[in-house]
Amino acid sequence: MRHIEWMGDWLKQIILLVLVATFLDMLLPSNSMEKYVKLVMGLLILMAILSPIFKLLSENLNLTELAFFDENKAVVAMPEMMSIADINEQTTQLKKQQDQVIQQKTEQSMETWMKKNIPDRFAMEVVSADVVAQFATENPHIEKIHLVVREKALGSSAKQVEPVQEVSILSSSEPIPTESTSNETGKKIQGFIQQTWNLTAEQVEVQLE
Amino acid sequence: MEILQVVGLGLITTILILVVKEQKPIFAFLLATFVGITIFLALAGKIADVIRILENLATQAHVNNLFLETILKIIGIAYIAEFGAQVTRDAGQGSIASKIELAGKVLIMVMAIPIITVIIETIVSILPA
Repeated sequence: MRHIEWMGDWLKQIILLVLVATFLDMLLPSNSMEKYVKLVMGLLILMAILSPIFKLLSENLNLTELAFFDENKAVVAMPEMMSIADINEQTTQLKKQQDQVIQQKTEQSMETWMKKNIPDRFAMEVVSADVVAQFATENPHIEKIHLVVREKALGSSAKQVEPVQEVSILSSSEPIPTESTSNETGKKIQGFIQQTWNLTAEQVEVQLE
Repeated sequence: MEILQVVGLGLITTILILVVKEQKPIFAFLLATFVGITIFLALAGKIADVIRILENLATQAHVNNLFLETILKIIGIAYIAEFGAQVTRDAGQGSIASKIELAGKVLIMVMAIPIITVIIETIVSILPA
């Protein structure tokens, strides 16, 4: 079926091109220009007719090998030569690669963002940040964020924040208990990350060193 | 612009030109050129309709864009060169008119060069070395 489809496309292209060419021939101002226009149109139609051969050649097939091919094998080999399936396969492969690259880039940029922003806000230092994202599925999402933080040597801003943390965090974060989060700052960081990327509590893991 | 208007405009212009030609030939030429441009521009809209329909058809039939683009460019070049050549020929400058035509032909051939290259390359690569 694929062959017929492909051949229909090819024929359609040629037929339409010939029709358009004759139509435009009538539109042309009748003069010396006509000869040249006709020549170029002819070349275009020739190219449309030859387009499958161009496709063959661009795939770097060995023509002599094809010519002396075993007939039985050739029948099997023909569909693979220029089938749409091949192209589709390549497309999916390329898409996969692209997804992977996007995933890596996203993870990297999220990690660097956290490394930059968490020290600014919480007077903590990010030891390591690990983002696991899932882009292969239909709706890409972040699976897990694992953060390891430790306290900064300078704690001037942290002292100011502490009293506020006690009040707000205790009430808000009590219903969501997470084992790995061991103190208020950790919870605050977790909440901050959750809010930033709209994640659930299970997806964010903050560990204090 | 419908055909009656075009013909009417043409007839009136012809009479006017015949009247004016005796006294001021330059005005007769200007009038002819101006009317020619008017008719050309009035018809440009209709040609645009036709080309739009052709483009639609071509995209529906998955015709390679390169083909259609080249054809349309060739048509445009042919029309414009023809028009310019006619105007200059009306003014009695046959040599300039033929230069304009030459330019049109050369430009059309330039459009054809990539196509010719592809075809010749293909033929060469098909032939056993």
